[in-house]
Amino acid sequence: MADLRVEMLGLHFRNPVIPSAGPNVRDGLRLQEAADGGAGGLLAKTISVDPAPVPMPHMATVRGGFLNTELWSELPPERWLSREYDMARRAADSLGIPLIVSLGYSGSEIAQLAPKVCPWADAIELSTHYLGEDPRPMIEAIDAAKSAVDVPVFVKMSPLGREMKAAAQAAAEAGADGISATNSFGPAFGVDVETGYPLMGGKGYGWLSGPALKPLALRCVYDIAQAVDLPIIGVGGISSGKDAIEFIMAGATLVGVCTAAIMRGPSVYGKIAAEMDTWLNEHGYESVNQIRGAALPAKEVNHG
Amino acid sequence: MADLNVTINGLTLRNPILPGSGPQVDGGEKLAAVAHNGAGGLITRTISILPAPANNGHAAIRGGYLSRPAWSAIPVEQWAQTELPAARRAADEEGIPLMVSLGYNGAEIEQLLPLVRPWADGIELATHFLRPDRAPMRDAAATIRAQNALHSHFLAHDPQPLVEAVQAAKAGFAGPVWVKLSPWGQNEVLTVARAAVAAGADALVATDTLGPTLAIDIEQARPLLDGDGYGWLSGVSLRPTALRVVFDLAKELDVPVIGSGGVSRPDDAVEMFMAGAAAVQVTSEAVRRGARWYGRLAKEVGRWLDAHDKQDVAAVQGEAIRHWQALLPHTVSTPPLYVEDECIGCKLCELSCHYHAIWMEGMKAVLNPDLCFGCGLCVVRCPTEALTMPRVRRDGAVLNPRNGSSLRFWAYGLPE
Repeated sequence: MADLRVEMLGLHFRNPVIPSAGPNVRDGLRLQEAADGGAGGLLAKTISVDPAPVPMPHMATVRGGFLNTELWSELPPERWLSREYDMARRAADSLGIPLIVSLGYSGSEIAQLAPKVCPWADAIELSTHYLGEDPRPMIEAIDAAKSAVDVPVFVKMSPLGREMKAAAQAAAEAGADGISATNSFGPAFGVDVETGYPLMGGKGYGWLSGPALKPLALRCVYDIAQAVDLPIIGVGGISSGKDAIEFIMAGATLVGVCTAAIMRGPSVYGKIAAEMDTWLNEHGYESVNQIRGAALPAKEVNHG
Repeated sequence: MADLNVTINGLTLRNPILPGSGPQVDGGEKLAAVAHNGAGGLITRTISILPAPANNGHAAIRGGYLSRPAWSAIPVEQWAQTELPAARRAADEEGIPLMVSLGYNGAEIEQLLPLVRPWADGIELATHFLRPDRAPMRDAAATIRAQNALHSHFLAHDPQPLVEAVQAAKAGFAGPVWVKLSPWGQNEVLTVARAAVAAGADALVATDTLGPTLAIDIEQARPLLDGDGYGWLSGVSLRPTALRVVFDLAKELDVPVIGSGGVSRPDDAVEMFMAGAAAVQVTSEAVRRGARWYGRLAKEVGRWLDAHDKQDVAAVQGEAIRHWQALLPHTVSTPPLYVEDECIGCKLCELSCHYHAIWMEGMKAVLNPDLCFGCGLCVVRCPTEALTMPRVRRDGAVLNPRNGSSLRFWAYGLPE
C-alpha cells in the first residue's frame, strides 16, 4: 500500500482525488455520495449571489469528450447556507477530510459570499472568467476573498495559451494561496447529426471537458508549476489513476474530477485513487509525494 | 445515389473529402497515392522558402495526436521540378483540383508563387508560423523557436502579417486563395478571419492544430515529446473546438469554409457540413490508416446521405445553423419524451441523471418529469431512440426534433 495522503496548506486529504465543481457536487447529498465514493476531500459546486439561469439542454457527451453550458449552482445561496453546506460538512467531518467551497465571480459578489460560507469552508476556490487579457477582475476577486476569510484561497483558471505563466504569476502576486487548473475550454460546438440540431441550448455553444481537454489542461498545470511556487489542483479529463499520475508529475498536488464522475457515478473518485495506489506500488514508490513534479524540468520542482 | 460533387470558388471536387496539409501529402508520390485512392481534391504539405528542419515530434495519445508543427522538408526547387509536376499529373488523371499550401509571410509568398504557380489550381496559405517581422525567413529552426514565444492571440492584435500574405497571394495568383486558421479564442479567430477575407481570401480552412498541449510519459517521468515537450493537438480531441470555429465562420462570414480537425468517420464529416462546412480536410486519420481512407470516407459519406434521403452535401450544409437560428434560448426544463418500448434496460440514463429523475424498474426506465432538470444527458447517452429532447423554437413551437412534429407541452410554462 502506497501512502496516498497529501497535506496541502495545512489541510489533510486522505488521497489526492477530489471532486471538481459540477453537477457531481450540486448539493449536500451529492457531496455525501462523493465522500462515500472515496474522494480524498470535498469541493462544493460554485455558488454565486443568484441561482444560475442554466440553459436547456446543457450537457452532452461527444466522442472523446463532453460539452456543457452549466454555469454555476442552480440553487440559491440561501439554500446552501441553510442546508447543503451543513450536510457537506457532516460528510467531510465523518471522514476527517477537508471541504472546499467554490464561489463566483466578481470581487463584489465574492465580498458578499465569502464571510457567509466561512463557518463551513476549510478553503475557498474562486471561479473567475479570466481569459488572459485583463487580470483585474481576477485580482479583485482574490482581494475580496483574502480580506474576508482566513482560510486558503484557490483561484480556478481557464486554459490559456502561452499566457498561462503570466496569468499564474498575476494570481500569485494578488495573494492567491493556490491555483486550480483548468476550467473547461471553449466555446466548442456539437451537432446531433440524426436531427441536425445543435446539442447545446442557450447560445448553442458548449464548453469542452473530459479526455479531450486533458492535453491542454496538463500543459497549463505544467506551465503554472514552473511559473509559481503555489500548490495546484489539476483538473481536466482525469478519468484513471494514470491520468492522475500525469497531473501529479506535471506539478499538481491534488487532482479534481468532474466529467468522469458525471459519466460513471461517485464511486469513480475512490477507483482513481485505488488505481494510483496500484501504479505507485508497482513502481516501488512509498508515497504519492515522491512523484510530484517529477516530469518538470530540473530545479523548478513545485513544493505544494 | 447522392451526388458527392462540391464546387468551391469555381473548383469542382469529386467529393468533399480533402487531405489536410500534413506528412501524408509531403511530395508528389504521396499526393498521387491520395489522388488515386479517392480524395476529392489535392492539397500539398506547406512549402516554404526554406526546408523545414528535421522533426520527429509526433505521438499518438488517447483521443488524438500531439505533433510539433512544421512544414515540408523538401526544398521548393524540388517541389517545382519534380513533386508538383507529379502531383499535377495525378490530379489530371483523376480530374480533381490541386491546391498548393504555402507559408508564411508576404515576402515569402511573393518568392514562392512564380515557382509553384504553373501547377496550382488554388493556393492555401498556412498561418501557423506567421510572425511580426516582415523579412523572409533566414533560419528555419530560429523561426520555429521565435514563434513558440509569441502570444497565442498575436494575429488578432496585429493581423497585418496575414493581410500582407493574402495580398501577396492575390497579386501573384489568379485562382482562389484559401487561408487556414488556428483555433485559439472565439473573438480572436473571427477578427483574424475578417481581416483575411477583407484582404481577399476566397475561402477559410478551420482549423489548424491547437497548442501548446502536453502529454507525459509516466514510465519515464518526462514529457512524451522531446525538446520543450510541447505538442499541438489534432484528432478527435480537437473536433469540438474545430466545429465551433467552422460554425462561427460559416454564420458570420460570406466565404466558403472547409472544416478540418478530427474528422475520422462519415458522421464527423456530416457534422462539419451541418455546422456550415462545404468540404472537410482529413489529416491525422489518414496518416494513421493510409491514403485509402480518403476514398473509403467519401464512399461512406455517400452512403450516409443516401440512408438519410439527402441528395447532396448542400442538402445538409448549414442545417445546424438554420436550426440554431430558429431555436429559443431558454432555461425551462423540458423533460425528454420517453418511449418505453424502445428501452433496452441499459441503465445509462439512470447513471447519467444527477437529479434522480430517471431510474430503472426491472428492465425498463421510469421517468419522473417533475424531478427532471432538463440537462439532456440521458437523451444523448441513450443508445436507442427511447428518449428524445423536445426543442423549443423562437416562434413558440415545441418540436420533436426527430420528425419535426409539433408537441403541446403547456405544462412546461414556456413563454407564449
